[in-house]
Amino acid sequence: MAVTLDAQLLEILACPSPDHAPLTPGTPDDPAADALTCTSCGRTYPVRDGIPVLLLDEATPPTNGEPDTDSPDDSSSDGA
Amino acid sequence: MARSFDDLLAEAAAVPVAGWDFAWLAGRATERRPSWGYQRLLRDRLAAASSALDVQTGGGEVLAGAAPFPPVQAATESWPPNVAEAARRLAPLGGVVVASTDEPPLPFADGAFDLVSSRHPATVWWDELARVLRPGGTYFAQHVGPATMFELVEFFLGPRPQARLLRDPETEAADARAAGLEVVDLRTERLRAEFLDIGAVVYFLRKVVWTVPGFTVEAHRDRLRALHELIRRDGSFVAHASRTLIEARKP
Repeated sequence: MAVTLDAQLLEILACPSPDHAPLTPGTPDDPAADALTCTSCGRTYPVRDGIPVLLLDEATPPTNGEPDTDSPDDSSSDGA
Repeated sequence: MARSFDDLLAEAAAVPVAGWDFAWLAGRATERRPSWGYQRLLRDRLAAASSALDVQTGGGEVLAGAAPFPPVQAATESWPPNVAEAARRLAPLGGVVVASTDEPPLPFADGAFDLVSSRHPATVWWDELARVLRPGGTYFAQHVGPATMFELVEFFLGPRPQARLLRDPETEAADARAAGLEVVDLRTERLRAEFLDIGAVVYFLRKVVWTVPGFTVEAHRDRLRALHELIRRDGSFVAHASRTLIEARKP
């Protein structure tokens, strides 16, 4: 079932990553999926029983080829 | 006949304490409510709003009681059992629950709301609240105030002079101003609370878990017995809850 969130609500929901980019319904592969996809970082968030789960921990990373430039976790770690 | 210490403890240690319904305490404990009536004031503000957010909504009980909602009403909650309960309660009223963390960033666009509300948030992130408010928008909240229930806290934990300084309303107002908000109302009240038997104390400490962190009947049995004797002698144990009402406007 497609996401049936109110259009006004969709306008104000934002990705919980630091750039707060707008979200679009569905996933890149399935626009009718119960999910919201970030228009900037490409993360996909589930919508369960009408509840958008906007948690970075529960996001699906973008499918290959899409940039993920704003992830706070992507900076080179370990100081290596 | 007065019930025994062991009997009162056994009963209060076994009763379920989930949720924020305190009906079990009827006749065994009382707590005054703040004079301002947060829910009634929230209802007035929701009636004038077009887009509102309730932060850390819990099970949505307080927000639901302030309906009807504006055309857009969102609520955030982080604890999964509360998320489901809040959704059940708020969806029929037109509210949408969003599962999010209690920490920034809030999953909303800049300037998304003309009203942001919260009752008893665990933490207040002023910069983030200011970000999601549109110019002219308002943050309206009841916070837990300084040194709440400290007679009870210090009976179990001893003097806590540093903790008494937390949640100072003037500090909160200064933080709000530092985030670019204008504080238009700031009130704090101390509210008499009275426990009539030790079972009521155990129930309260099990339910409001942060009062005496790590509280268990077993670990605090000696202090519980001392408090039981005190209540038997004096008829009750009196403490004071503390609440702050704050309203801040984004210029």
